[in-house]
Amino acid sequence: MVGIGTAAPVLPGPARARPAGRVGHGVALVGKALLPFVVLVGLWQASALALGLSNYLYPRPALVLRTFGVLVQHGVLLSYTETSMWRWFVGVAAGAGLAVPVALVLTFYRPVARMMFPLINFFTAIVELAWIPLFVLWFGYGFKVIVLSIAYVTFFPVLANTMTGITQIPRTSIHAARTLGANRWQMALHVLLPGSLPGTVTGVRTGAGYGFRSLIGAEMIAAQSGLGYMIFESRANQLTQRTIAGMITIGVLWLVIDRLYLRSIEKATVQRWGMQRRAPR
Amino acid sequence: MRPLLSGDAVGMSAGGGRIEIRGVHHEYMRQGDKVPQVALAAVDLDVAPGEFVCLLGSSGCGKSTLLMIVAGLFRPTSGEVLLDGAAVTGPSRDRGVVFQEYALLPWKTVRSNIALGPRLAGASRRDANRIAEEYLELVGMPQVGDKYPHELSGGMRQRAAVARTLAAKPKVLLMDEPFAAVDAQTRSVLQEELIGIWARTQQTVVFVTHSVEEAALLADRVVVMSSAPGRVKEIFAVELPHDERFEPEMAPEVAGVAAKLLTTVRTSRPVRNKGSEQWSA
Repeated sequence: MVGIGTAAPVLPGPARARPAGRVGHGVALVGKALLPFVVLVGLWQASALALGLSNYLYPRPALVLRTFGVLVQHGVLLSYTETSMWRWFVGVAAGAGLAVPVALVLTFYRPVARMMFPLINFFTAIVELAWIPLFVLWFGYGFKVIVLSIAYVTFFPVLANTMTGITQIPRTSIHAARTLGANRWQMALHVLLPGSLPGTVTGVRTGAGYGFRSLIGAEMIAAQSGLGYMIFESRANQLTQRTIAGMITIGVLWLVIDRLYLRSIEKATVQRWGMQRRAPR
Repeated sequence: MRPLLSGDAVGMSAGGGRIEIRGVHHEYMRQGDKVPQVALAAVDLDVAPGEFVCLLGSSGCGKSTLLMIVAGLFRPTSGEVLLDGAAVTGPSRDRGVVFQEYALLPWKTVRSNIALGPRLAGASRRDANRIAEEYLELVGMPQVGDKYPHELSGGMRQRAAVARTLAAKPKVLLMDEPFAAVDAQTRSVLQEELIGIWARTQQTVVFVTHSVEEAALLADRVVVMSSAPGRVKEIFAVELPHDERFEPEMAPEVAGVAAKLLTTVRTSRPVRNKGSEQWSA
């Protein structure tokens, strides 16, 4: 009895306290992150009351919430969200999937790289929205145009960041692989691709963000479905509350995607290998 | 190509390993310089198969540059290096290098790092991993294969780096101040282990160091280099048997060799400009 009595406060005490503390910590963090949103909705409600405008010009939070309910109930929101997410995913995958091999080729063939940089810069400057009229002309309305414009804006940051990532690989890593007998493609597989991953991950996060905005823009112009379409068409049909519901959906989706997927890529690779670079969060 | 899996994977090297350095001269341009810096001037040196040679000198004497030229990672301005009569034209797994900064690939586990040499030479993943386990055993840490390099201490990382280089079955082992970054106690353990491994594999070793004690402990012959430009100043044969040098009773004899080396290293420093010193005094 005495033994247990003296041992108990020393050992299980802190061990039991820690998980509870961590959960509490998490709740506090979420609470802190939610606070600005709550304040924003409060300001929205207050300003709507003060201005006294019609729901067409300035829909109130309660109406938007009810609209959410209707959209969810009829499956419209889910269907549009699925459509948009699929387009976005294919576009980002295509853009990044093309950018990484191009980065390798440009690394291996330096003279080609020097020749190509001005051209790459030239196209980086041309916003993808400017391409959409041409894309529509060539491919018609719909999937292809939207995916193409997402891939276009994803390509450049992934290319640039992967190339930067490759140049930041320690020389000794490259030397070590060469003295172990690596040929060019073995070097790419074992050293350059994994070694540049901090850069590639940063590039994909940036590119996915660009692509997400591009998705909405392209859907406004060149689609008959998706969240961008809903936002644009609802205004024309005097359903402003649907426009706002769409905007909120986009924002929430991005928060979820960034936290659940993009950061977990980083955790699974760069952080696990102890080569993490503190990216601005 | 030598078979990777013939008999005992950890054991004597396949023989050979004669290094001939013929009139190696190396110049490089620093940014903003008009005249090239001479790193090495007319260096001639022969290393016999199975011999342990230390390149000793103060920083800037070109000893690491010379090692990198033997590795094939630097190309000399003129002169050549022969390995068993064949000219060195680039890096190859004939000449394994252990770098000062470990140079383990952070994105591979310790096991995968050590398995890299056999993998690059075409061994299956299973065979390569088996070889890696044998070499982990050889360097006395069979339990860390699943860890990533950043999870190991400096001394363990350097053991893993030695194991990785050995697992590629090089004819010669080139070591660039491999123990300079670890603490003194770990260093002396690693030195003794290295001599133990060398006694088993009977590989040619070229070992760069700035420590006279290290050279006295390890080398068959010590090549003292002078700086500006780097050249071979004097070559000492260390007569003490290797297995006696780590015995505490022999410390005075080893210290004696070190003292003799130190005298030579000291007088090989570049002569300072006396005039400017007097001017400023």
